[in-house]
Amino acid sequence: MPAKKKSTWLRYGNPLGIFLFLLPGVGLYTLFMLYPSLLSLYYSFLDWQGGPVSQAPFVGFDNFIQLFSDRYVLLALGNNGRMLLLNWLFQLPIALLLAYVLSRLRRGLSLYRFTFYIPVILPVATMALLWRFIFSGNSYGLLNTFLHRASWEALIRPWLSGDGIVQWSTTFPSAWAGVGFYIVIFLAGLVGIPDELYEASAIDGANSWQQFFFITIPNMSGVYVYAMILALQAALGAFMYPLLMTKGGPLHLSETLVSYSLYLLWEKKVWGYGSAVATLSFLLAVIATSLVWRFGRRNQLTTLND
Amino acid sequence: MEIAPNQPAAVLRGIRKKINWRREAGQAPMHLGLLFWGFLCVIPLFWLMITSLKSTPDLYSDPFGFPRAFKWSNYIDAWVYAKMGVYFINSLLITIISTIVVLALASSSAYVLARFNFRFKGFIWGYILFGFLIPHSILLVPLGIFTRVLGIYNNLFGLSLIYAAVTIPWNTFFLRGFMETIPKELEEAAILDGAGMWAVYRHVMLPLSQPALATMATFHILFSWSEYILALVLTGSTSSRTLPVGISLLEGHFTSNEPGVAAGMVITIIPAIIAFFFLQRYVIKGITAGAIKA
Repeated sequence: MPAKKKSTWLRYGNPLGIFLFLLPGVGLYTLFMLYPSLLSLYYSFLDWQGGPVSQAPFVGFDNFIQLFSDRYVLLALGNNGRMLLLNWLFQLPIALLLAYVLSRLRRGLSLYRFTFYIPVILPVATMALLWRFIFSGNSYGLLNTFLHRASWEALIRPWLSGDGIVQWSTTFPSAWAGVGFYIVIFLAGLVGIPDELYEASAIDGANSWQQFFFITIPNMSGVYVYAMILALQAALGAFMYPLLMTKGGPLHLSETLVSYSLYLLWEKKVWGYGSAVATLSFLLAVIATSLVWRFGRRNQLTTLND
Repeated sequence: MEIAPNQPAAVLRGIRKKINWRREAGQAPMHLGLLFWGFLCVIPLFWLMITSLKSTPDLYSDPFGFPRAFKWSNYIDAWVYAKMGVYFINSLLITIISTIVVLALASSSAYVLARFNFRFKGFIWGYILFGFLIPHSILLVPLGIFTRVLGIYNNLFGLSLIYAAVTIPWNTFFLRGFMETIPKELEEAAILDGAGMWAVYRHVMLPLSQPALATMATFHILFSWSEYILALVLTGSTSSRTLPVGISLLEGHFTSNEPGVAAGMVITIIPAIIAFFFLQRYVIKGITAGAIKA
């Protein structure tokens, strides 16, 4: 036993050993995550527009009061709301339907699941650029070229610049890309529904749709609520697609709360107020995450052992 | 309830017997629907690969068409002139380093939290889990300043450490949960043989946690490969940028060379798909373990 030679001081389970085992992980997390987040909280009480932070005056809740009169915050929250709407009304229902079909499948499950999950694992920076190719107004804009060739000229839109349009074209891609993730969650829930329920209903003459509505949906409600909360969390923290597709523009129309805080911090360089906007997104994330914890199921880790 | 998510559903239900072609045909409408969605998932990628081999006039005249001549030099443009090659190596290094760091640190903390009772244990657990609440976007300004003070701004190793730090809460949480399910007999035998904490951790806990470590590594690899905003803010020069940041700068390198941009995008996509192909069962296990209770 090498350990016996190396460390006679390490009696099993002594306080010093426990401390040394915890220190690197907890220390790194404190240094680069917890401490910076508290600093950011502190910055949001400063009137800080560049320059050394020590010279920025403390202004109390002024930044947070300013939040309420900033119409861009409202615009941004509207886009977070749109994302939530798309997640709840498009992403999750589609995912549940696809997962249900997959669970009834006799062959091909792994291949389909692999394919459906690809959009989830691809770098979002690349996906956002891809969606810009799709929505572009240039001659290579895929959607408009397609509409033109299909003689649906009336549907051609300035997807990345029109008010009332760009808000949707920057939120839809993330809802679409996330479907595969929820398919895997729902599939796990679906295989947990006892087979006897389906067999009994089949004997009673139920068709697949009836089985879906009267067996699958009621038995999936717990998993579904959990997925809804995850989707809420995703909608509140979203920023990648607006940031990389339109930079939140034009005129901040497609901004989300986080992308707006990034604009304030890195373009406008109002670090105090920008931190306050970031803090607001943090508070919303706290609410969403505590909901996840409230409803989240976090056992079943033994399944990893198979 | 037994859940084995990487098994076909049919196998789980025990209904797969001989191929019954009539029943298979009955599932054709289901396959049609699934094929349609699968088509939506992969066709943009095929389009991207085709576009990456076109010339610019070729793309402008017919964005959907097949290339008139394969312009492989787009890849050289992206790899060399747009520095995607440098970014690629950087991303690879960061992915490897931060994955090793986070697994080492999270597993050692998780081991102690799973096996011992000590003062402040509840507090430390809550302290770590608080990290679940912290969005990365609020870390940017403080980390931007902080990394410059520490001299790790624009530094691959520094960025790797930060990637490890921001995923420690999740990894520790997951690994502790897993380690608590490991039976204690082996550990007791090792202690009787005179093993200390280090030996137990190194020779008992780590080997037995291998499935969970593989899952954690998979998620961390995919995270580090795709992470954008921290890399954008904490790196400033070509020598230390990562692929996702490089991608967002591509258009600056290529004015009206969209096929070159597409080639750069393909360079980011291929490794992710290959990695996912080999690691998919861990992804599915990880998500499933998070989503389902017995």
